[in-house]
Amino acid sequence: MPWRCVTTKLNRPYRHMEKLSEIEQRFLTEAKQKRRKIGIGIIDPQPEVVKSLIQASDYADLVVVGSKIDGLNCIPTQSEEEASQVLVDLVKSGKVEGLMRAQLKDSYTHKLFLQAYGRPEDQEKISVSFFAKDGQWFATPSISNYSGLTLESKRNEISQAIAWLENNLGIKPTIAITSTRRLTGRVGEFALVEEIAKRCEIIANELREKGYDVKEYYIEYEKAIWEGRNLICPSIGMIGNTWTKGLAYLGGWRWLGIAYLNQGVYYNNAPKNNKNWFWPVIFSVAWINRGKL
Amino acid sequence: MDFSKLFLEQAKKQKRKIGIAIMRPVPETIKSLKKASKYADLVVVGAKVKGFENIVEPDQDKASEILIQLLKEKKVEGIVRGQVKDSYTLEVFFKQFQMTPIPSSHKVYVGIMQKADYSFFITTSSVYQGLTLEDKIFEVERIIRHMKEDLGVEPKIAVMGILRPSSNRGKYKLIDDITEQCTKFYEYLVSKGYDAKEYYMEYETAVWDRRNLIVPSIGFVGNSWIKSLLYLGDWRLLTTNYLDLGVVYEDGSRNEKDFFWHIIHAVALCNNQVK
Repeated sequence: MPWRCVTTKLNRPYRHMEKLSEIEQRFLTEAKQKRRKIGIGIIDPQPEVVKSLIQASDYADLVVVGSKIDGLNCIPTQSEEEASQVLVDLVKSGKVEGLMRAQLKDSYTHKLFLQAYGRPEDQEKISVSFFAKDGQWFATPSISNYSGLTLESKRNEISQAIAWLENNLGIKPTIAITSTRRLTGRVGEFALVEEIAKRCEIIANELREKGYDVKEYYIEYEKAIWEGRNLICPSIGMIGNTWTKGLAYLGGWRWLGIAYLNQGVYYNNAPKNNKNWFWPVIFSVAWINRGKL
Repeated sequence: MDFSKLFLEQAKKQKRKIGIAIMRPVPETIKSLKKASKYADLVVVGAKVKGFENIVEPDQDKASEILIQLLKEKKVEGIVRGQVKDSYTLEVFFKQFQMTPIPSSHKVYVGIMQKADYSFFITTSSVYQGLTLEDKIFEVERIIRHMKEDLGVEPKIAVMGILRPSSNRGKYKLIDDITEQCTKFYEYLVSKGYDAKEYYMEYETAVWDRRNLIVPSIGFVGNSWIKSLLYLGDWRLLTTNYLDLGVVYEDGSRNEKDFFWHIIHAVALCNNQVK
């Protein structure tokens, strides 16, 4: 895989000190096809945030909602809540083609979004996240703390993530099912640990029966990555949430984006403690250019 | 405090004989053993490894038994569990030392993670730990005592949780129960006068705020978080020694390849007689 120095047309090089993964190269190529108008919620424009937005603006016409940043099209607001409302109004009115809640509150912004579209609250919030580092990448199904708490929700989240990889990206999933204990661990000793582990085993068996390439990794998430699995399914949402944030905020991984599924619009839900928004913007533009929700 | 510097200084005081179980002697592992042998006379149990005192035993469980036997017979002064099974090796330890086994939920070991000049202690990082409020209190009180008495460090505690105060509640009992437990745990620490702060699910903010004792919401979350940093995020696991076993017993995580710091810490513990 080649080492890359991505030079933008405004001659602001976005230099990667490491090689790009296959998925990053693909997203970048797709993003280059056509500029798109993206609304993004920013209320804390630190230098790293601003720099990444300026770099991303070579690929997108950004509308920054919540703050004033020199050189970018901005709609400053008095409060975070107002920014959420403005962002939702922009996408509802078609003034932007994609929505990134970014530094705004997740649940609150989504609540306004549902109100604007006159829709009831989702039973399950389904998403697919993408991460990359050192030429490796992987996706995860929903990683909210509320995800994967029942067999049905886990089944639903994983099956929709598989379908999205296959249909939206044309990628054949190689699935890693993780768990809360090893088979050689204290099986049956702790009810909660066991309950979650059982759900993971059932899901793994169901996916195998359907013919998917599935392997169980128990508590060894790292092995799933070392072996190049491209869809890593945490045993339960609260683990997925913490594990991925450990990677992205403290471990040097890039959170490329979160495709919020079933929303009827291009809704990238990449989270608030992220500081570098270059890749999430690229992810949104690439997604829109694929023309498939 | 830079604990790596502290432990290295302590290890330099006297070379000690340390047993370590190695089953997969990949170049990175051998390199770390060679580097550590400046501070320790190593006895490598398990795979054949040239250049060290070596007891070859390809069977993993038998290697555990030999490692513990070395400790029991005082042929080594401390052990690093290395690449053999965690639970089984500890079971063998209790058996050979004729001690009543400690329940998995009450094992206390001291994990210290480090990146650049920042280190933090971590509790509740076995999947079986932190499942009840009592377990968390038991564990954190012991670690606080270790930090203060053995290392002279005043704990600045980050209490982790699952939900923010503004999050939706009442939908999932498990989430609500863990959240309530974390809040009660925080209130307990504050009532005892400790410097504690709730960070909810923002582990990264606790690190950015440079808290030195991070208590995950529940063991299986702590386990995966720590491993995300160690195996995929370029952090070091400096120590994971068991407390209160009466011997120097350095544990770890099975997929580790570099054992330098575990050995250094075992030597440091021998030199400080902390068991």
